[in-house]
Formats: sequence, C-alpha cells, structure tokens
Amino acid sequence: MATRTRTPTPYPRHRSRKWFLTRWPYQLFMLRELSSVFLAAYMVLLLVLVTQVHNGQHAVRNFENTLKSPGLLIFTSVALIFALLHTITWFQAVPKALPLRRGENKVPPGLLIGAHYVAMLALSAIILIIVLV
Amino acid sequence: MTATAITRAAAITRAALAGTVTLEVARYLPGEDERPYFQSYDVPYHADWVVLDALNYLKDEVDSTLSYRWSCRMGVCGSCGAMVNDVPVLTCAAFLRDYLPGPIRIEPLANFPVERDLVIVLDDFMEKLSTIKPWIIRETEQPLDQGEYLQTPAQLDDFKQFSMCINCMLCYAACPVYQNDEEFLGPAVLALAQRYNHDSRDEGNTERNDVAWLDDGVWDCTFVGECSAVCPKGVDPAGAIQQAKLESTLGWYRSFLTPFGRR
Amino acid sequence: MPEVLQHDIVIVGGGGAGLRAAIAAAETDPTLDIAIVSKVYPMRSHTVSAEGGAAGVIKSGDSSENHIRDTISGSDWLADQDAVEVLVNEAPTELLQLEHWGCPWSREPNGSVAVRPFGGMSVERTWFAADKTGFHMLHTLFQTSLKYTNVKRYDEWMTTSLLVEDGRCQGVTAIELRSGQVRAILGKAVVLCTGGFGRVFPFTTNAAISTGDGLGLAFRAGVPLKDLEFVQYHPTGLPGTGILITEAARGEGGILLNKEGERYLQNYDLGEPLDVHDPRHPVFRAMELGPRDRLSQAFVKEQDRGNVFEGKYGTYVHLDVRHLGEKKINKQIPFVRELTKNYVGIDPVHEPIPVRPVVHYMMGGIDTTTDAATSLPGLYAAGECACVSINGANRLGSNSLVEILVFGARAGRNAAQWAHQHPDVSVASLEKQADTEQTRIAHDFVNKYDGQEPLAEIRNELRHSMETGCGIYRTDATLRATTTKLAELKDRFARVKLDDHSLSFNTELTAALELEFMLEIAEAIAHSALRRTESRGSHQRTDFPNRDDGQFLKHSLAHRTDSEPRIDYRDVVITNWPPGERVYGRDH
Repeated sequence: MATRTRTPTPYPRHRSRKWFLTRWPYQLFMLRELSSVFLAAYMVLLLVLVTQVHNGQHAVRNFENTLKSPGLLIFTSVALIFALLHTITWFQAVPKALPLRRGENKVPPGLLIGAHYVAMLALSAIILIIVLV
Repeated sequence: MTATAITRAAAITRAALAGTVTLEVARYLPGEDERPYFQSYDVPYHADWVVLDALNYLKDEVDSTLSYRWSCRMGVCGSCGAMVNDVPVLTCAAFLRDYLPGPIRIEPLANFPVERDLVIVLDDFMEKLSTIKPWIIRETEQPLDQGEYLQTPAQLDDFKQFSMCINCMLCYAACPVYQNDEEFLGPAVLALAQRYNHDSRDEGNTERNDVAWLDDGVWDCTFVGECSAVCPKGVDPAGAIQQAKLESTLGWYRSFLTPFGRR
Repeated sequence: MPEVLQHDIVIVGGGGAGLRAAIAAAETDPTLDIAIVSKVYPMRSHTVSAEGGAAGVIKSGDSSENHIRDTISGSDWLADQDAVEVLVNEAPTELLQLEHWGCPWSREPNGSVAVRPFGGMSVERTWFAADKTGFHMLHTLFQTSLKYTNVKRYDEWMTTSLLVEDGRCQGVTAIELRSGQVRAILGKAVVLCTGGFGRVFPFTTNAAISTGDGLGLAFRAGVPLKDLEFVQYHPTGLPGTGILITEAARGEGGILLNKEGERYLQNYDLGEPLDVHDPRHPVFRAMELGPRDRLSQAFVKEQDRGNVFEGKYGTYVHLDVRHLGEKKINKQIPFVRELTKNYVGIDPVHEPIPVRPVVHYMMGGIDTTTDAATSLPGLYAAGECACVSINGANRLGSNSLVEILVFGARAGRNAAQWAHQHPDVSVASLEKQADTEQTRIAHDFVNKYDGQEPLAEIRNELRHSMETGCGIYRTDATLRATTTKLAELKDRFARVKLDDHSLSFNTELTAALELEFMLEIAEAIAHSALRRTESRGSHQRTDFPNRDDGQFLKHSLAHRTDSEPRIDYRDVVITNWPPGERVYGRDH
C-alpha cells in the first residue's frame, strides 16, 4: 500500500532578474520605460537653457556651443529617438485607457490615435512658427 | 512569397515527409524530483493537430505517467494553459504546424508553483478571485415577478468584453509584475472587477474598488500589455486596468471637488 | 484510516446544476454547511461549452402550454408530463433569477431580454448570451456562489463511491488529486450533478470529463438508471474533433445542404424549404429547425444514398450561414465563426461549414422524481446525469440549460430539507467503508503492477463498439455484438496495465476510474437499447422501425446485477397531452 501521507511540495514559482531579456515584447517594454529617463534628462537640459537665458546672451551662446559637443549631440539624438518611441507607444495606449463609444459602436482606435498625432503635429508647427518668427 | 513564408513552408513539408516532430516536455514528480527536467518525445506530425493532440497521443501510446489538464478541447474551459516555446498558450488552440521544425518545448504555465509535470497550483488565483466580490451588488433587489433589469445593447457592450474571461491564467504567466510580486491581484481578476463595475445592474463599485484600486490592485500594473497580447479570448485586461486607473484618478479628483457628493 | 470530513450537504459536481443546487441550499438555510466536490475546478465544468441558449416563456404570444406541448412532442411522448409542467412553469423564474445575478443575456433594443428561434420550438423562447450561453451561465453561477460563505469547495477531488448506511446515502469517498489520498466526505444528504457521458462514444461534442461518474456511483449503490438507450446526436458537429456548432446557427437561418447543394431535409417529412431571404424563414418546427433526432437520422439516410461529402474524418454535409452576412454572424453567432476559423480553417462568412452528427447529450440518467430524489433515501440528482424525465426520447435544444437550473434548485432545496430531518450520520461505520474503498483504490489501481491490457486500447474499443452497435440506427445483431464486446472489455479491464504508481495528480488513475464507470454505463445503455424493440425519438431500430405505444410507452430502468444489467419498465406519466403523432414541417 502506497504509504506517502505527507502533502507533496509543489515546485516553487520561478523568478528571474533577466525576465525582460526573454522575449521581444518585454524588451520593448523596458525600452519604453527607459525612454522616460532620457526625456527627464532632456528636461533638465531645457531647464539649464532657461537658466542660461536668464543669465544673458553670452551664457546662451556658451550653452549652444556646449550643446554642439559630440557627447551632447549623441545624447540629444538618442533622446529624440526615445522621445519618438515614448510618443508612439503611449499614443498606442490611448484607446485602451479611453474606449469611447457612439451608441453601440466603439470609436475606432485608429481615429483616437490619429487625432493625437494631428494634435502633436499642430502643436509642433505652432511652436516652430513662434521660434522661427 | 516572403523569405519567412518559404522557410516555414519548407519546414512544414519536411515534417510532413518525416512524419514526426520532437516535443520536449517538462516533467516533475514532487517528492521524487528535486526540480523539473525535460523529457524528449517524438510524436506523429499532422497538419491539423494541436499540441493537446500530441500530448494525448503521448499519454495514450507512449508514456501514461504524463499529467496535464484539459477538458473541452475547444478553447472555452480554460484548463489547458501551458508554455509552448516560452509563450503561454492554450494547448488545445496551439497548432503543431506553427512550431515547426521543432523541437517544441512544453512547460507548465509560468509564475505558478508546479504541482506535477504540466499541472500548476492555482490556489493564489482562486483566492484572489473572491476578494474583488465578483457578483452583482445592489442596495435592493428587484422582485423577480417584476421581470428583468432593463439593459440596452449599448449598456451590455460596456462590460461584455471583460465578461469573456475563461480563467485560463495565460495573462498571469505573461505578466512580469505578477512574476516579481505575488501580491498583485493580476490581470484577469482586475478585468473581472471592471466587468462588474461596468455592469449597469451593479451598484458595488465602492466596495469592489476598496480592493481593486489599492496598491496590490490596478496601481501595481505598469502596463507591459503582454496580458492582452496572450489572452485567447480578446478580453484585453490591460485595457480594463488602464481604464480603471483613469476612473480611479477621476474619482479621486471628484471626491475632492464634491466631498459630499456620491462616489 | 482515511481522513473524515463532515458537512450537511455534499454536492458532487460543480457545473450548472451543482452550483445552482449549492446556492439554493445555502439560501434555504444559511446555517447549513454545504460542500461541492468536483473533479475539476467549477469553471471547467462542461456546462461551459453550451452555446445556443436556454428556453423560457416570457414573450407575449407565447404560453407555458406551447412550451410544454413542444417539449412533449419533441420527446416523442416519452417525457413525464408532470415533470415537463414543472420545468416549463419554473423556467422563466430561474432565468430571471440568473439575470438578476448578472448573467449577460442578449437584449432587445429596448433593454428587455431577447429570445431566438430553436429546433422543435413553435415560438421563439430561447434566451441567449450571444452563442456562449453555457459559458456565461456557468460563470455567473460560479461567481455568485462565491458570495455564500457556507459553501465550501473541494476542487479537483474525484468522487469514487457513495457511502450508504442504514439504507441512507450518507456521504462519498473522494480522491484529493493533489495528494492522491482517499478521504470520506460525510453528508446528511448527497446530490449528484456530474453531467453526461458522451465520452463512451468516439465522436462527441462532450469534454474529456463527461464520463458519467455520477451514473456509475448511483448504479453501484443500487439506484436504477432510466432511459439510457436514448442518446442524442447533435446534427451539426465538426468532423474529426466533434466540436459543437450550435443549433443557434440554424435558429438564425442557417441551412443544411448535401453534396448536390440541395436542402435535403425536405425529403424527410420536415416540411418545404422557403427561400432564405423569405421573411418567414426559418419556419419553426420545420426543416432545419426540426428536432435533433430527425435531423441526425436524415443525415444517415443521405449518407446511404451517397449524397454526402467524403472527407478525411468521414462523411459530412454543409451548414451554410453565408446569407446571414458578416454583421449578423458577428453579433449572434461569433463563437461559431471563431471555432470554424480555428479548427477547420474556414470563415463561415465566405464558405459553408462541414458538419455531421456527433453524440451530444444523454436523455437518460439516474432515475429521479420531480423533487430530484432518487430511490436511495438521502441521494438526489439533477442536470444531465439525472433523468426526471423531461426529455423523454429526444431533447429539444435549449431545454437542458433550464433543466439544470430548475432541478438543480429543487435538488438543493430538497436536500436541505432532508438534511434537517435526518441530522445523524453513522460516522464509525462510514469510516470503515471509506477504509475499504481506500484499500480498493490502492490495490486495484495505484499498486497494480501486473496488468497487461493497455488502457487506451480498451477505451478505444469501447467507443468503437458503441458507435457501430449503438449509434443512430441499431439492430438486434449490432446491439448483441456490442453487449458481447463490452462484457469482454470489462473482463480485460480487470487486467488493465497501469504505469503511474505515484499519488500526486495521477491522471492515469483518474482515467482508469473513469473507464471503469464508462464500461458499466455502456453495458447498461446497450442492454436497454437491446430490450426496447421499437423506434422512438433518438432510439431507432431498423428491425423495429415503428413506435409501439402499446408495449413501450414506458421508461426503461437498468438495474445493476452480478452479471448483465436487468432492465424493467415503468409507465410514462401522462397528464393533459395524450400520445399523438409527432409532426414537423406542417400544422399539427
């Protein structure tokens, strides 16, 4: 007669520090999260710029030269790529958080996402005009 | 035809000619094995076989000691979740032809303790299910002789998607937050909370959200989104959670602006 | 000595009927301690696969009288009419209760519950939740049951025997699958809600778990099994897998076509086909909305004429829903679209679906009264495992989802009452019985090292024999061949080869126990079919092609003996609907 009477122990849950390396969707998620770091760093740069503006034309020109240094050029380019990634992934998320309905029909997600891009381009255009003019 | 399509077609042809495909199945017997190990089997290849067909073949013809859950074989009971090549799927809906040339790795659902072979322990999920009070909560019940609560098709649509969950727990296997934090209520449970919150017949939002809107509830979610990607029924738990976060935030603001108003 | 657990009521099976019984008992008396013992988690129960709908009279223009008459004629007059009256009268209340509990019934634009046409029903009365009615009903019941703190669940505990003492059923023995331990769960009342047994046949819509365990348990405890010979073949299952394509597809207007593209049902006394765009199509109780037994029989006859398609998994015909249009299909039968795309690679919006009859439902089961009581005091049964009988010789679609509610609730309430009246349980004697059962399982299964007969082979031969001998059309010769074969298989099962001697989640053990139940039930089915020398409803004898009310307006009752089952008979209860001719396709 089988005599094992103790409750058998299940094999415990497995946790891995490298979970995000296992599949592409997780890697993309981490890149998306990382993009916030670069955006935050870029915000710091903008704040420095504002401070330099306060300190006068000379300070601004110095700052512009610093920005042209290879290190900061690379950083700014990378930050731009991350900013775009950030924008694209978060715009994709909008219809999930905000399912709008017109009666029985859902507003197509493409419409919501498209509206965000249109708004982004419009705002960018306005800022560009202000800066150039 | 693209390069990928050609490679796939070649793999399928080769398998069809060879007649077999290799499965690497995780085995574990508690009390005997210290940890799970892989056992390799060759099974016949059929173009319309799903992984479950292969497992049943193994159990019936090759190794009757293999344990796994299954029942309906049509994707509605939620029993047969497993990891196939690192992705959580229903074995009754995962076709062998999509995993060629093999070998195909089959493991128990991730993020759960393993009871035996491909059978996991789902006690944690079952406990969490009750905590969000997944039933209609009302102040007063309308007597049955007055007929049904009226609910328009649009009102039904408001929660219908979230009611489609078959409790297969593929979303838990895909969720890195759940992997790292066992207290997280998880995608399916939170989607179910939304299902009842959005049901026009329910009045239990407050009670439910006292659990669902806390740290171990929606706010633990970092919107990885893989839960919705693996969900076989299109429930979109990620969407449910983000909507809940939005509702929770707006509700919080409202409670400041109208401190004596209804929550 | 196995561990002994005690409750007031023990319910075996956590599907629609079992959950409804638990809720009914819990509501009858909140002080009662109720246990649900299920070999799977409740959400996995086979109720989940039901698709089409649940019938209940709520629309003006319909009446209980209509529903009763449809059900009785659908049953080929074998249903007990008092039971049908109970079912029809209590159905609307039960369905409304489920609605109040949150079931997402599909709605009319004004918010009231919608109904759809269904086979054999003269008026639209089938409530539905898209085409996943069973799924929604089960989840609603399960989630609602979580509200009741006096309901304790034993998930993944497989019941192996009933405990009977002093002529009363006082509990069960069950294996806790996780640990492999056999335990006694005592109760003042026991309710069996274990579902059907389609898995005794090779092609079935039924899940793996539909192995008739409850019938086996009752049979071994001396309770007769009623009307087992009546096996329903659903006309539209997918070839090979047997996956169900709901009758709702035909309720919405789907048509059946043979190899020549002809709507062949018109040749089988089921009426005249109307054009699919005719506003009167589909006509109730005609053509594709005829009863399931007649449609399945028509398929076999078409097959004999060579008018069917030949495929990898046998013959089939076409179910065509293309004319419904994508929008209607997505709204009313989206699951059908999903299933056919996934499992046959066909989009029903553009192509017809290959279908053939597959075993779907068992009209027969544990003999019960309208109070869900069996002949064993303290033992109740409800749902597909029970035979009240409301389905007689053929069940109408959408009647079983209400059956589980009406009789599940009745079983729960009556079990609660019995528990009050019989508070004592003979613990000592029951412990001894449980010990014997534990020894049996260990000796005959877990520690069996000397078997030679492969389990899967015995099972396959069982199924093959049932299909060839006891299928849609039967003869004395085919049935005798089957009974002989089954006796041989039972003998071979005593020497079954078992390789898994572990205790943790041993699914070879559960498969063996299920096969043991199935062999006994199959034998009872075959003998019941052999003795009924007439054709009625889904039991068709080519050697006795006519209905014989003189001899057989009776239920068959199969009793377990030391050799083959003994079959005797009991009169059908007739109240207001004297036996008549079963007419479809024209006015009756």
